[in-house]
Amino acid sequence: MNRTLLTAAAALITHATVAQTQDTPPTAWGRAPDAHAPLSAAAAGWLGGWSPLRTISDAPRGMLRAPLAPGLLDAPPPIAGAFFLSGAPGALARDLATVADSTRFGELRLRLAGADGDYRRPLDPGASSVAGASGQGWARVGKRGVAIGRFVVDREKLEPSSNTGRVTPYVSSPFLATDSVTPPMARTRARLEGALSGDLFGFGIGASVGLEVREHTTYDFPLRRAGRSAHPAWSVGAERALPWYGVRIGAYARSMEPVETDILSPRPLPTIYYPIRGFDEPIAVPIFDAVFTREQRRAHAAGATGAFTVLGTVVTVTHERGSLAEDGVLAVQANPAKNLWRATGRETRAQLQRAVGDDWRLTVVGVDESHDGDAVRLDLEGTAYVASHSRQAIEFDLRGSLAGWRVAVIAGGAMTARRADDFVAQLFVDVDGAQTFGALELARDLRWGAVATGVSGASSAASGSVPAVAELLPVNQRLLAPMLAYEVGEARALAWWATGAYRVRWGTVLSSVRYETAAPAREVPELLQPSGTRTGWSVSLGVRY
Amino acid sequence: MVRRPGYAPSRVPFTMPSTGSFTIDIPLAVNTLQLQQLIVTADRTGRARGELGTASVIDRDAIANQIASSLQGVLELLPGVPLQPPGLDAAAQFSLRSLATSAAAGGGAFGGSSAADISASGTLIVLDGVPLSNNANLQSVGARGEVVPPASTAGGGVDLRRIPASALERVEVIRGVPSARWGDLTQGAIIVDTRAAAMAPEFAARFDPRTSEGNIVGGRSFASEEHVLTLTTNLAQTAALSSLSSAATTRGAVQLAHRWRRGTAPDGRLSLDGRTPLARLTLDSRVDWFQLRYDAPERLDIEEGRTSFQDDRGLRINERARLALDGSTLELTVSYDGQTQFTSEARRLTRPTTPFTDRLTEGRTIGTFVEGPYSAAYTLSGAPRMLFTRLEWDRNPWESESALRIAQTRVGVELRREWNNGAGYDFAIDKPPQTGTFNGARGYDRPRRFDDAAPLVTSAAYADTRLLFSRGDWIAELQPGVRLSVLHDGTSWFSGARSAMLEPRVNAQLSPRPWLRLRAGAGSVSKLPTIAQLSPAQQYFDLVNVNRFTPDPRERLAVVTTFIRDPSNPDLGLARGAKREGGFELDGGSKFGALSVTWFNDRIRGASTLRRDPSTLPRDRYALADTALGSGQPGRIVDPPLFSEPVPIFLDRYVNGGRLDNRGVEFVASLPTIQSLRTRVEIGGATVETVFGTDERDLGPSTRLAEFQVDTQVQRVPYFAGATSRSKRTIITWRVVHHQPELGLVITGTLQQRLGEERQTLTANDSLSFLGYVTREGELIEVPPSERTAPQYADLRAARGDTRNAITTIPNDWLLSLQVAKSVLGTGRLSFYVFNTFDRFVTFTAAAARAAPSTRFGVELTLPTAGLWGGR
Repeated sequence: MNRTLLTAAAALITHATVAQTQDTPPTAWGRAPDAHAPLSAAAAGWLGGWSPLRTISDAPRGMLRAPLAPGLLDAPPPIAGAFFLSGAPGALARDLATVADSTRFGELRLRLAGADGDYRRPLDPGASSVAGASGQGWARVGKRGVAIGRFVVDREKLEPSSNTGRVTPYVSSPFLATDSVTPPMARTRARLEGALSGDLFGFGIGASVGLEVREHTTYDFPLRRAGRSAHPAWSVGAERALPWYGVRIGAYARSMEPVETDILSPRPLPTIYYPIRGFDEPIAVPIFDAVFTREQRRAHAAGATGAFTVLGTVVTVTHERGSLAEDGVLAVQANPAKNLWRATGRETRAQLQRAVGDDWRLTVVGVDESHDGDAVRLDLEGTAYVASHSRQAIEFDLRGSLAGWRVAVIAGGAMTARRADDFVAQLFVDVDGAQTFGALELARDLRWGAVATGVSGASSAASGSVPAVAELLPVNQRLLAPMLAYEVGEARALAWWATGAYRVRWGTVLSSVRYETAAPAREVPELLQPSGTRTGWSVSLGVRY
Repeated sequence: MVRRPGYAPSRVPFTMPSTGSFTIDIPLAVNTLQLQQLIVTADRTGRARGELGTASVIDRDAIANQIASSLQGVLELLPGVPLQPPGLDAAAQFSLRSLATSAAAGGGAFGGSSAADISASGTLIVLDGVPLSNNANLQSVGARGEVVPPASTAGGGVDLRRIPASALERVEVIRGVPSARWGDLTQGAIIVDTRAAAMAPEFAARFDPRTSEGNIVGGRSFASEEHVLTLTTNLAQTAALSSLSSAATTRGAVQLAHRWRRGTAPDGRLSLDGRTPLARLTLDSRVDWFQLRYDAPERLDIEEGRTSFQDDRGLRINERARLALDGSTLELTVSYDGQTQFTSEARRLTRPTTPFTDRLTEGRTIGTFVEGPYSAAYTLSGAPRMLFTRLEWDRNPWESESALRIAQTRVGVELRREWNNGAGYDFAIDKPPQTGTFNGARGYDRPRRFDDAAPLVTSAAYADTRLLFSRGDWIAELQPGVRLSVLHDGTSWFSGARSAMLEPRVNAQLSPRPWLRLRAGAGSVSKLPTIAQLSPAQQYFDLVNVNRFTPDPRERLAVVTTFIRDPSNPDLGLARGAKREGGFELDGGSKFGALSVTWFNDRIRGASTLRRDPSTLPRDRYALADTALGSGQPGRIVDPPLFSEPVPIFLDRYVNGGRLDNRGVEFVASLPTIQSLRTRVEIGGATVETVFGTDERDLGPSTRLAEFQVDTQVQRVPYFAGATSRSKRTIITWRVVHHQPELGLVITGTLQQRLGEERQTLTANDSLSFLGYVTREGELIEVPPSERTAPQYADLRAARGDTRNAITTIPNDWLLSLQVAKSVLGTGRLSFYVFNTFDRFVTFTAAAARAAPSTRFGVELTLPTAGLWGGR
């Protein structure tokens, strides 16, 4: 089998698939998937780690973005503990109890955002815009309890969309329904997440629930692509504090059952249906009647947590093992044939936090995660495709005061490895990537409030093997090759933002703007690598109380 | 209830001791969600005002917490009611204690009333003291109709989408035996009070991917609270799932309520709020307007040429005058409800080559031939009207030292007149919205006017009393009553009685201990037939005398004789119902929770169903002249006819032939609040079995009858006993309510299980199951069972064909819905809801499948805007 060996450059590079979720900006914190870049533009990265919607044994591959702002004015500084590190709900109450200045937090935001540009993969939308509202906060409940919650409601327009109706097409599973058109689409989403924790008989007990639901449909187009997804998730946990060195040990379990249903109704405009199954050339199926696809996932994970304080440093370590089962069906009947994807994975996270001097705080977060999976096609027997993915990332967050300014610096890097082998097509991918990222934000308190501005950047590159373009048949040359070229390409992303805070009697009014761009650092047109640039912007207005 | 300016109303249940004083601290909060004692479920053990029958009471807090677009969504708080996604998706009819059954060979087998229609129309909806009626709704294409309007509720219950949930203040659902005050019902009564009080203006908006809704509610008092004016407005739109339909439903509703209280009652009584003196004269005026518009334009990706449109509008004016007398109250209610209903349907139909006449009168016609595809369109223009008045005398409790006393006595009379002023059913006669009806004997429908239909005129008188007996801990209550319902045969209340029924009813309750209540009820009820059933459309029979179809269109000849028959039934009258129930309630307070169990057995006899009455028409056969091929002439018939042959016809006639039995058990268990988790669990459910059948004969499959009509070689067809359909289902609903008053947070998880659902058809369908036969002369000849094996009946011993004994078991399934409400910005409320959280889809068994409504989600924001109106 012919292969193309691609090598990439330096230590400061990584490949674009390093992102933890579909669009996630680079970070070592965990995060629940978002559909596209504009949707996650206005929240501090560390606040996403506790989400019960965070994937299990899966690695959605997002486009490269510059990191989010540290959020000097938007959110409290990162909080140490197993809840914010891994979403262990039993630790929530104690995590927040250790932070004297953050016993209550709440914000509401309205947001407009957009992204467009040529630098994208075939199944990423050409342009997207979103308008939405979000809110998050935590507060004490009773004497020993803490509740935390978050919501997002938004409506996204994709003009044009891509060749698939699937919300997050680039995940570990090799199965995906695509077609030959890119109609404009509207998506409506609501996400709710919350956790409640308290102290009971000396144990920290907690539970968290998350739910994301979407509905999408085409508009102003002579065929109908419609669908919906529901992603419920929950976790429970407990922890025990021991009387020396601030030791806390705990355990948690979490589970989720995401399901997505899509219906393609090719009337009056007939279209061609391409069921992607790994790297095998999709069969082109002209369709004249509706095509139904439904992916049902079940994922479970269990983890252990530990924390202690030594030399003034709070150290938190979590370890989690999980499994994922995905069934994909193409028919509404009693026992339909199924595409099966099964994966198992593990994840270890560590966090160190300590004061540096009187005015600074350093937080270090690291993650080591991996998972393996295999797939069975509905039209074949036996394993048709296997894949594995691993990622190691570290992030430093240093923030404090200097000469009347508040300063936050984020720096980090990540290494990834992805291997996928399609036994039917006899093609495989073996890519190692590296990524570095950093952010700097400065804030100044003023008489009436505060202002902040900052920049962030990320760079990625990779080395490894992907199938040569010549090895691929026409559909895969169109849908697969650019994606693989994106994975092994070099890219850079930059972002700039500014935030203003105006104090009022009952809280603070916040407004912010952000602009970001991403582009390949080196173009490789012979691999059909996407070229051009991609830009995004967001504007938000909110209140913090 | 406690109200204080600047605070949310606070409801606190308590038991007043028989002597002495009672002090209670009632915490108030700015936002209802911050109240410690917030109850967001129905009070299943409560009682409707003036009623002793089993009831559920849903108050404003529960309504506000229920994500619902209309009254129907609020009623999901009742035990045994299936959850539906919020919105205006489909016509919302509601049936108490009843299930739909299959239509196989029952009354609904050929377009008549189904079990669902009968029970929905038998569920009385009372809005602000005045019944809503669907009796004059004629938006139907009748028994022979083929292109059925999808959003019509004609023949069934009131479309509850016209009542926005935001307009509701309190809903009392009498599931048991209603008092004699309520008539024209078989299932129970839903008593709805709309919002009419001084309140700060409140704006609420709801958005989900398919439904958008906005409400403004506000009320203000004037002149030292002598006048209170309340305005409620609602605008909502729901679009159907875009992959399935182009339909969108839009509703607008405005309600203006005015209350004028004058003077004070001579006996110093307090009004229902317990704080203000009862006025000498209270005038409650209501003006309600609504528009419900369903529009499904043509969408080529679904079906070419198909459009549906329906526009229902209504204006309702109520006036209730209550005059407080010394020791009693006299109440006069007058209401006028005028609606316009417009339906427009179009379909692309294809018909075979058929002789055709557009004749509107009886007689012979040289017809034409029609064939091929065409656009069939029709309109239904209805204008239902209802005039209602009730005069009621309500005697206050007799003051008495004895153990037995009279708690309430009511005597009243009701007059009601319903009619329809609509232009009617209209279409191009040569492009009828029917293709399968015509067979050379049966004809197509013709346009008809609705204002020709006779009005429905009824009157009623009732009396009931409530007796209270107490000795020690023992308290017994008895509410006997009787109602006389009369359906008049003329157009005024002075005409004679076409049908009348005396309806005795009694409810009893015994509380031997404060925590135990035993109760039972029984009574007779009645339901009016609808105007459509009393004045059905005339049925046309177009007998083909000559059918000469040649290749040359000029030489074709069709001769058709039109007969018109009136299927109205002068004997059609009230359907009779008998309701029985018994049950108990255990109330352990907040420490032990509560349990309520009710068994019920409701029987309806004489429900309006369709019966096919055989008859005969003479078909003349003619010799033809001048029929040489190639002549270019159609030829001519030679009079007189050669001979005449009988053609059997079947008139679809409404009769009191339906039997509908509903029995089952309902339960509600409220578990004690888990204080440490601030969580309350309530389990409610019902097992209901519905058996539906008719006393009338079944003539077998329509195709067999059609062949019998046109094939003169077939001398007779068998008839059978009507089949019976049975449905059974258990629904258990678990509601888990987690409430954090400090956060103003209420999380409600609703898990609904649907268990043990089965549908069965019970019928005799062996070769000896026929009861007799119909001759070509339209005679019914009964064959005794002992003779059915005789050789001369061999032709009748065929398989019945249209029905078979079958039982279908629907798979068990469950749904989970989630709702989170949070106080925001002081007095506001932000709610999220997700219906079918896990997007459960289709559940299969070997023989059946159950599809769940798809996931629906959205957000609702309520913002009180205190101060905008200045007053309170």
